[in-house]
Amino acid sequence: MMHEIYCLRCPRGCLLQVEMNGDVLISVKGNSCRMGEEFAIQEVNDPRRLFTSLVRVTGGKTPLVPVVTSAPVPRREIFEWAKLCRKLVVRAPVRVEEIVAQNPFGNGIDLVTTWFVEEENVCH
Amino acid sequence: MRYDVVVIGAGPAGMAAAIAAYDEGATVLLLERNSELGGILPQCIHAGFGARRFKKDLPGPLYAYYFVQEIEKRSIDVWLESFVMDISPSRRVTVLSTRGYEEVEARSIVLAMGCRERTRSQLNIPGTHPAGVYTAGTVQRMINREGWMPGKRFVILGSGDIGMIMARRITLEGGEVVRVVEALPYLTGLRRNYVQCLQDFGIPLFLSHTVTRIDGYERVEGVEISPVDENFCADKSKSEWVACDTLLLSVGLIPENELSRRIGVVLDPVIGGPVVDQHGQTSVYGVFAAGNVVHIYDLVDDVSQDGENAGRSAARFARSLAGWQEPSLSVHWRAPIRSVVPQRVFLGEGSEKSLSFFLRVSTPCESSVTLRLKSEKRVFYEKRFPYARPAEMIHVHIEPSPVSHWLQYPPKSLVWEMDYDA
Ligand SMILES: Cc1cc2nc3c(=O)[nH]c(=O)nc-3n(C[C@H](O)[C@H](O)[C@H](O)COP(=O)(O)OP(=O)(O)OC[C@H]3O[C@@H](n4cnc5c(N)ncnc54)[C@H](O)[C@@H]3O)c2cc1C
Repeated sequence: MMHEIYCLRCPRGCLLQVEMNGDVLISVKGNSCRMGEEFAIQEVNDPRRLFTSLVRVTGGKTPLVPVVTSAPVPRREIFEWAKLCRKLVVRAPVRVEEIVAQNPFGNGIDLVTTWFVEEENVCH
Repeated sequence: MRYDVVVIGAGPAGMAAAIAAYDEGATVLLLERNSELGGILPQCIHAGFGARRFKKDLPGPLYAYYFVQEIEKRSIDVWLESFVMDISPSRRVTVLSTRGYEEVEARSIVLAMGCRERTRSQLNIPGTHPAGVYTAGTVQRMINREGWMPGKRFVILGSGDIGMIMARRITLEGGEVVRVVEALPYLTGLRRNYVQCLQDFGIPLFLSHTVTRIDGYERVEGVEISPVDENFCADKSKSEWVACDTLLLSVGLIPENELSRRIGVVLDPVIGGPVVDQHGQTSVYGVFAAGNVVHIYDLVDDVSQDGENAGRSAARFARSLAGWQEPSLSVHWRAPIRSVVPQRVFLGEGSEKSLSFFLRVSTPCESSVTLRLKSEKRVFYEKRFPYARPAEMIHVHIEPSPVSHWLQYPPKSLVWEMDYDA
């Protein structure tokens, strides 16, 4: 099987021609460096992406806190992570790099905050 | 009140400038109209920041946070919710804040106001003026900071990075992006964003197409999309009407230079940012500039580095006001190079170290190109690049710097040129 994919490892974005026999890589063409080959193998067998989204916050100065997965997740899992993010609610104050969901899908990957939310001032 | 260095804008450029100026021994005031530090980054929740500086793939907010921590470690004065209204040529800065109206005296100023987006009025799209036409950054703010979806069915005009990144965000939040439309025959953002943001989600991209009409009275009801030729002339006979309730415009950023213009800073006519030298010095004595206010960067790492450079120079200027009105050489360039920053090379003290340039081309050259900096007599830099694309700025670092040579033998002209196979 031939696959045509763009390499995502650097901004250059080489167009790779990847020849596979089942799970076995036969050849990679079109790459300009070693990373292209590594990427092709990963991308064809198990494409992964770093997932970023938002989680609701109660009692904070802003209603949301941005989050990221602690490692790239399988691409087919992305909508599961998105669904999880819509369900979660955390209480302010929220600090940076706080874990808001620990290993929710059993593959050792957590959901971590990337910004902070201060508590809302109660007195006006 | 009096400070050595006053920095206007607390995005990555301004924060880096404030830190570098403080570390050079200056007293620093950082002014920001928002209620928090970080500039645009807290709303850029996607990853792809900091690959060079931190050797990690960081989301925008985390990248900003590392700088916020550095600011907090130092006694840099930070005024939030403080809008700079005016600057005088003698470097008095007028600030409007919750405390009222204040004036601050600065020995030097760093302009780091970032950029703004092009809007519908700069595009002249015919049709009605209903609700539901937004710029991509506005929608980014609504979704990522305020927590609401401004529509259900979107068409995105422009294939820049912010537009593509928003296509993915909208899809993940349950919205539908029916189409991304680009007038140019090529993608204006990075290919990696095309793959991760459009291809991954099956969002179609239409190159050489544009939106030729907006329909709807209360709210957008649909847009007309037509193919365009190389002169951007639309062929209405092949147009197609697409139902949608929101049109997102991602059609470019413009450096934010209202303040610069008021004090007479000379602006580059192509880019719209101040003409600067390698220290970030503008044409106004004691006024420096860094980041997207100068030109639109693709990588935030470069913005931070630019900020550091300008901050350090501003601090040195504040210490020794003299010596900064030396001669400088102007830099020229030829097509297909579209722009070069810095546009001038300062020949004064402290300029002999390395010299960096950022270049952008106007059309994509997919085969190898040769880039050259020369005077009438000599070639100072020559290098081959595998390709040159408008979406990717070319960063050239010249070491050792030829400035000492130019001090001895000032050239009449300094030109960047590029050989390529058309
Ligand atoms: C809407 C938008 C979305 C973007 N999205 C992305 C993205 O997704 N990915 C990416 O890599 N890059 C993105 N960028 C590019 C991004 O701006 C740069 O990478 C980087 O943040 C620029 O840094 P900066 O410090 O020059 O400007 P900014 O981050 O824009 O910071 C400028 C700061 O100056 C302040 N300011 C302006 N005028 C005044 C005044 N008169 N008084 C006081 N304060 C003032 C502003 O409030 C702002 O905080 C985006 C830019 C915009 C405009």
